[in-house]
Amino acid sequence: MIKFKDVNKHFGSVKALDNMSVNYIKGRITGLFGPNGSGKSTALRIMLSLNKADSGEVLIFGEKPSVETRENISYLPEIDYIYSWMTIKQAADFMKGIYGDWDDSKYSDLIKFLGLEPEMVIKKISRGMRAKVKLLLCFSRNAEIMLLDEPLSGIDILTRDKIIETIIRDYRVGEQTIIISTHEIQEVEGLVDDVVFIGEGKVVLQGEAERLRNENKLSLVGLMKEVYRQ
Amino acid sequence: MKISNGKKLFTLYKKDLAASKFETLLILGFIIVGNLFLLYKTKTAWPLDMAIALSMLALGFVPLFTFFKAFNFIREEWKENTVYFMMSLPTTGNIIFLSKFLALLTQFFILGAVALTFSISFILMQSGIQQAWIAMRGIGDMQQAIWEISKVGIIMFLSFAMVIITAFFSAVVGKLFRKFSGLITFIVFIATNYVSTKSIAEIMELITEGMSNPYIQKEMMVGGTVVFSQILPNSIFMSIIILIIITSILLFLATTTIYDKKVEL
Repeated sequence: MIKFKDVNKHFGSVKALDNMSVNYIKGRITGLFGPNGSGKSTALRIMLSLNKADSGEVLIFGEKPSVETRENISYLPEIDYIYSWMTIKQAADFMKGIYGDWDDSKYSDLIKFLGLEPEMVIKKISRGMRAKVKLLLCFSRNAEIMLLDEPLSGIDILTRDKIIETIIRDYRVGEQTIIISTHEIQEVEGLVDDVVFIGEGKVVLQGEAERLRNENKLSLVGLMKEVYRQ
Repeated sequence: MKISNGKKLFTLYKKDLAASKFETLLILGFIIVGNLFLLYKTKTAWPLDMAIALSMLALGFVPLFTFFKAFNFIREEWKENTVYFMMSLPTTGNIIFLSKFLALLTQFFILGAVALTFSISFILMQSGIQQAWIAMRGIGDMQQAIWEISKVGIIMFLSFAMVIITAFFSAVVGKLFRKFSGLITFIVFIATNYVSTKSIAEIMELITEGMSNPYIQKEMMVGGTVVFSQILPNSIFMSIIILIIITSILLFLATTTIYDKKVEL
């Protein structure tokens, strides 16, 4: 389980997380939903110790975020973060030399599925292709935890479908914990088991997706509109 | 299966070398083409003295390039957003910065070796290989002479390595600030350099207290004339290199601690 207890984070005078308490259950897909600037990316970055919480407690399967916990986390940030001079093969070789859970057979399957070529140079391909490369590197690992930060942002509809297909295809139910941070709920509505709505750094609603839909007689998109209208 | 720190270091080192492959080849090309041009000019019009001076200039450019590259190595990670990649890796700052340090030194040795070969060739062309051989044979104690020159070389190299680490340190401190990061890096670099060299000098003064003229101990003869003295007695030499190494290690550890504990995105 990934646990946030009374977590606060400031960037100067801006409060990014405000007493955030939430539990992400192991082996499930959780949607971390909220408008832009609500603190979704900060929460993910704290799990990786890219940002440090000012106060409160964060535990990744019982341990504080550290170099050791990063071994089990596969992270896909919104921005292009891979060395742009690399070819896809070079990037894959690099990942293989760092992560013990790299899976060559998954990589071979995925590269074909996503329509990529190993010799493609990252800086020379389109944004949609780069998004696929990030996904390829992220999902070619057998990581216990996957943190996907806005995986669909700025991506065309066909590529979006491919990304969602990849997530469904490679997800190991009950073993892997996936947290998808996005404000484009419609696209991932059918994917998520649990949801956490956050606004201005606070958790405004959380629970099992199916239960929340039934209780409120609303889709997650409708529920989000309701939540943020209040 | 967990990847060992050694393998992670090697993977990062290969990546850091590849990242600056283009620049290294470009500079290498300039050094080779520039020196070949000088060689051609000495055969037609220019005096050898000028070729030696320009060749030495190219040699001096190598540490300068490596020095600026040290700052750039860090700056680029932030500029290109690859810092998200670097910081999300399951590796400590020690491994990240050691790989960068080793990559820079490799670059320095490759470029330096090529530039030095040309410079020495020009010097030998001027004095003539036979003359140089006669002069070398005139040195009373050849082994001692080589050791004395090596001592100066070792101190220069270790000081250069310390400057590289200071560059890392100041660049990382600069990254703690969102505004005026470049200016802070510059100020921290100057201040750290001043403090570290001053501290080494002060400690050396304590070590050599009471010694009269501790840095020049005995004269050496080359072909009947005094060309250099034993510049550093071994005890002084060892004290200097130990101090430089300790200062470098402390600066390196400070850099990686700040990177691991304080730097945020």
